[in-house]
Amino acid sequence: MLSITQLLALLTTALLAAAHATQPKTNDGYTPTTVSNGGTIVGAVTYDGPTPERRPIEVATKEEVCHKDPIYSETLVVSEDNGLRWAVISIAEINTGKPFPDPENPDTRPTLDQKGCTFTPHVVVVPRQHPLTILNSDGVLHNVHTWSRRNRAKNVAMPGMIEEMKLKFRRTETIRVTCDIHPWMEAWIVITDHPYNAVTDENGAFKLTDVPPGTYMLRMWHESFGPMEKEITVRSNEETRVEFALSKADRLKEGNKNGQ
Amino acid sequence: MSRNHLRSPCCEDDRKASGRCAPRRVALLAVGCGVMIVALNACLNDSQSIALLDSSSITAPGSRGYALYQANCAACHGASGRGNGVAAIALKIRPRDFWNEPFRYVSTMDGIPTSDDLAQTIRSGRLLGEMPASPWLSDEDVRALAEYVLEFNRLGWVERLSGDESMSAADVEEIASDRVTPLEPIVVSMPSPDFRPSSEVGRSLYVQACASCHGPSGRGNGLNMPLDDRGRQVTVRDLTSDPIRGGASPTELFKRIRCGVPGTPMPAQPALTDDQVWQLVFYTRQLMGRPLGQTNP
Repeated sequence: MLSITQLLALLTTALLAAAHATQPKTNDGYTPTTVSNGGTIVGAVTYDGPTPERRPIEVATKEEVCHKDPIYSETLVVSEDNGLRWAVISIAEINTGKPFPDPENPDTRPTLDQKGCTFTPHVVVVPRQHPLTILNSDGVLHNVHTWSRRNRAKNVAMPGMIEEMKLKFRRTETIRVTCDIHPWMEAWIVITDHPYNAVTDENGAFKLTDVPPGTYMLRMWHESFGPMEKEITVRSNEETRVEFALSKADRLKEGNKNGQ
Repeated sequence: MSRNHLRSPCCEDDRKASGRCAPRRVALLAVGCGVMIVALNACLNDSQSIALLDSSSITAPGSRGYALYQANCAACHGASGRGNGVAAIALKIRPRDFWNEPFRYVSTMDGIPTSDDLAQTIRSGRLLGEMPASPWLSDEDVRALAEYVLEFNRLGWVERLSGDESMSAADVEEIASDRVTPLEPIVVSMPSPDFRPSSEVGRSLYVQACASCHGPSGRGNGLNMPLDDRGRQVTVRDLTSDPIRGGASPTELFKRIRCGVPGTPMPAQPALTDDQVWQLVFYTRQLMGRPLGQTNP
């Protein structure tokens, strides 16, 4: 018979295995080319389960800048039409296609701002080895603390007078980011190795353009739900529509702190 | 020496393995063994550790570090380095779990200690912590121990990453090694020739980079209540009266301010210039009651 200890060990192993089973494959070789005959993937992520009422978070600080605007949790944001915000849509594996956005162009470079004592945007996609621009619009001390597993952890201060800083990440990973000074601040940095990624907007909608024709696995990730994949076929100069419909059963009990 | 002694019951075996067990604490230890949850936790961890420990030439029985570690560290940090030694229960400050927690005192910008950083902590102990200094160890012994405890940390990463289906065994090994390989340590160079310690400049930097936690006058009463890596609210160091655990010499303070203290909410400060960090060093020392510009610890 198994002892309690052995049972616990087995249970822990099983739980860990289940939690880790869905990490995207590492894919290091991506060759940018010109895509002239690409198709488009459009769609939406919806959630029709119960959602908590959105109430401002009570922020435990006396710093004025954190009280200018009400701060809301971004972990489950659903529109009136069930559109789920902040879901990450990515092609699971793709080795060649359109070039990465210019990391130096202020309009396209991935940016994470610290504004009104929130991270904005809540989810930011960064190609690996590209700089992520960190801004501090608040003029008070913030710290950017990454809870990475594959990448080295970073916990860097942004004192009030430092307006901009760059961070780079070596490996693909979805990383939770917090500020230890303002513990309600939370964001996700999605490190990818290709440019076919999108984050759903306030209506749950997303769009991937210039996708080379072919069959792909399309992956959906959201911090409050288990990941989901769908096989899709993209045809030249055509639009492929994809819907991810989530229900209460897909909801993760504890949320997802590991980015898996 | 075999590792069977680690299996169970662990409290008793931890004591044998370490060969050290403060007599005054024996009674407490007996109680400790009876505390179901503690025992269960410790046993569970240890049974999972054995295969990994044996897989490493650094931690395998027979290595130089093994005997030294069991004799000098295991009583508190546990025979397998998980912070669950027999004496741990009697300590106010929980000993470091080398598998799952970062090391505090580093001289690198990525929070990973160099061999020198670890050697310094092992040699000098933790000021007013419960970790004693070990002046009797030879330099080689201290090095072997530094390597040994860092290996626990690497095995911790192997353990955590191993369940990830998308990673091959080689990926796990590579990433685990990467996560314990420090960057080059920072160079604590002398301030530039035109540097003058200034309370005014120091104070203005302090207000922007430190005061929101350490408080306007350094008393640990800032506007914010930061959390550590385990999500616990920390007591922010009162710079005016608390001992400075990593040491209050200008060089040590420079490293703490520049590199941060991993595991705590104290972040690294990559964006400041060297002279700005020096201003903060001297301002902090002024808060501690040292005359401005005085440099002896």
